[in-house]
Amino acid sequence: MFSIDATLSAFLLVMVLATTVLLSVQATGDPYEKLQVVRTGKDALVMLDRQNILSSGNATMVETALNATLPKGIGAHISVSTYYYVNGTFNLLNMNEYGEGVPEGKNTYGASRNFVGMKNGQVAEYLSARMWIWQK
Amino acid sequence: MAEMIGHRRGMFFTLSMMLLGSALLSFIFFLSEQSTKSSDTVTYLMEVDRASDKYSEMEDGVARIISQSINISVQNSTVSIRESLPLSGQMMDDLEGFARFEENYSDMNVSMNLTNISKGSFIIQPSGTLVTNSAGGFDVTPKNSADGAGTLTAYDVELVFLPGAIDDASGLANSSGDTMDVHVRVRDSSYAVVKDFYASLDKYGSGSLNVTKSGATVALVSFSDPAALSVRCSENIGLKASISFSNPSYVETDDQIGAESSANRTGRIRIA
Repeated sequence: MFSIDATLSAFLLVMVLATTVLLSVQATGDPYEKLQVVRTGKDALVMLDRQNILSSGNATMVETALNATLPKGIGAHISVSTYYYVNGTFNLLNMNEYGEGVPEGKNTYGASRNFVGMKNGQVAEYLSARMWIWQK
Repeated sequence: MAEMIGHRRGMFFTLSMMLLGSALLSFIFFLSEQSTKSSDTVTYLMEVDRASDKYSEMEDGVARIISQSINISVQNSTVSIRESLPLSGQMMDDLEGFARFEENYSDMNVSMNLTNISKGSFIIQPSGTLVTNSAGGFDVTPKNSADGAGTLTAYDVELVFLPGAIDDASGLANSSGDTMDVHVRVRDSSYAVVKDFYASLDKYGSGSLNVTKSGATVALVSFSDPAALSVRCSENIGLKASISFSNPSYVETDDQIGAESSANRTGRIRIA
């Protein structure tokens, strides 16, 4: 009888440990964290677009606005591709990179936004911004 | 006797341990299920968020392009439209380019039908008042109903011509019935000719204003049943039209755009 109790106790102990590990692992991969970080990135992209900062191509302005917009614990890298449209085809004009380098070995999340750059009352260029965002 | 009690205690202890084990197993299973459900919910929420973002991104782009040709603003229940007639074809080209760009460079399926807004047609809501641009013309056509024309209270229209393009304007007289206030200003850009016309017009009647140069008609502003406005002009003119309603209003296009993933978002484009 004693050996059955010992086995059961050991089994219970293993289950308690397994539960702890399982809950711990699930907490580490908290999907709400991802939702929050991605939302932050998207809001920053919208703000940078609506204030015509991204289409300006001015690195100092973009970096300053990014630092002012993102919370301190968040890192971001933005790549903006600029296209012009002629004869039904989009041609890549340039690609600008802003923000910190994307870290290796960290969870990074993505956000994107397409928008137009206006000049003299008409569309001068089509821009596509991709953002990588992470928790420092 | 004591041995029997000890034996029973042992069995009771073993049974308790087994029950505890079963309870723990159920608890782990329950937690795991809840965690999976929660994760699925967040994944779905993220898809809803992604579709919503793409939709508002397209809405922003379209509104930005339109604003270069037609300036539309809303102040509570008054909608103001400022544009140059005839409407430039550039807006149509830009909208088509933007729609193609979104289709080619989006990370999800998008659909943009911009047929009506490309022609300068949009709707003032909730009254369902249709605003259209055509070659040499501009029209405001409310629905013939209590919640359509019935809610329209006033028009304030200004036509700006090139210097020397006009020298006179006449027409527009008060009428009785279910009336709306009308103010039409006709001028040239140098202010050499400025003429203001105020009238209280029957919404379901008619009235017109003839703008002339040396007696020949240059433009015609007319009001007709049901509280509709029509501007006809062969010249290039600046137009400002403020339309007041009895209810708070907003402006949207009669075109559908959509962002499609596992969560879809489709609807009309809100302009102002």
